[in-house]
Amino acid sequence: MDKKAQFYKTYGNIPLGLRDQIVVIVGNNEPLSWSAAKVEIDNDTDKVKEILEKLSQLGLLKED
Amino acid sequence: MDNFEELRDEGLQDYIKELVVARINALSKELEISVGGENITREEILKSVMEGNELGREVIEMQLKFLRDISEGKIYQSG
Amino acid sequence: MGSVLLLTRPNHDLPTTYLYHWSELVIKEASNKGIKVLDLEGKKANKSQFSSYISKNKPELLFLNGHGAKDCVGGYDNEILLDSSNCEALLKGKILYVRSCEAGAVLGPFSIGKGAAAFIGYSRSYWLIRSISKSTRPLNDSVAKLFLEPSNQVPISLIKGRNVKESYDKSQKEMRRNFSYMISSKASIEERDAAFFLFANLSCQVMYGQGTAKL
Repeated sequence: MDKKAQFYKTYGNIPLGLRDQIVVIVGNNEPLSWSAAKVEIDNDTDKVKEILEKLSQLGLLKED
Repeated sequence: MDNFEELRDEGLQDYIKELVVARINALSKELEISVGGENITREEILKSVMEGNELGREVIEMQLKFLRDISEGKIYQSG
Repeated sequence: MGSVLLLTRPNHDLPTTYLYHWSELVIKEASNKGIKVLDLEGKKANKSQFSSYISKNKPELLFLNGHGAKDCVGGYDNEILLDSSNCEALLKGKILYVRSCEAGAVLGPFSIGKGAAAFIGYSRSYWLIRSISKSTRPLNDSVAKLFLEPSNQVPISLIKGRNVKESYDKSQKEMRRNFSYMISSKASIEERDAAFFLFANLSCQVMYGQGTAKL
């Protein structure tokens, strides 16, 4: 499963109450919540690669 | 407690500290925190995280476990 | 029933004052069940009275609140009440619940080795999150309630006749239930922010000794 697909699968597991909590930092110290990260990924922005890489390094995206 | 191998990678260690700092900084200001019967300020927690002392390491490990358990759906399992 | 509960509840600062007030609910439950309560409240939570009360009254259940470390538990002004030096003399056959940081890491297993029947406590930091606006009315603090009600379930379940394992499980179940609420869209921002800390307490609550022990 590619990282984008892993992200969407993981995102589905995140409780609604926690989706606005910071989960990743990108660029020049820009914190993003799960929801904000999803917006970037939905729109295939230039932040996507870094977001997915960092989430993977943190062990938050699991291979099936 | 999980074995966080990532914490042995110095670069990733610094990144994780930044992330934990950002998460602690975002906590509601209406909340007061105490640990073991003593008050602790956000600044003290952040200092511990950046210094990597015993409390700081515990906070980092627990934050990682929290994020992972949530992302893996483990929090929905009972027992 | 004839059982005796000894509890320590210092109140030398705001966090211990919260534990002081919330422990009253445990005292009430014990009184309702006809259990004699030895209440070492405030300054009475000192080493001399602690040792003396235990020696004279031989309580079956000890419920200790306060600051702790891996190998000790404190009372009023953090005077050490219990550590490896007095475990054996004081704890034989007793059930302990220690509501403080880290005592579950070393003191817990050590106390079992020295003859305590069972120990429930926390192997890492015990977090308590409070609302600034409710600090003068601890029992009305809805955030602190999410932490202290499940924590109170340990002694309350024992008082109600459950054994140690059942009481531990009950406390865990209540923490999970509160955690589930706190991460839902129904929770306030403060409650959601506090969820991580309850998760931490849930993760490090430990039990040692005889799970079948009861009052």
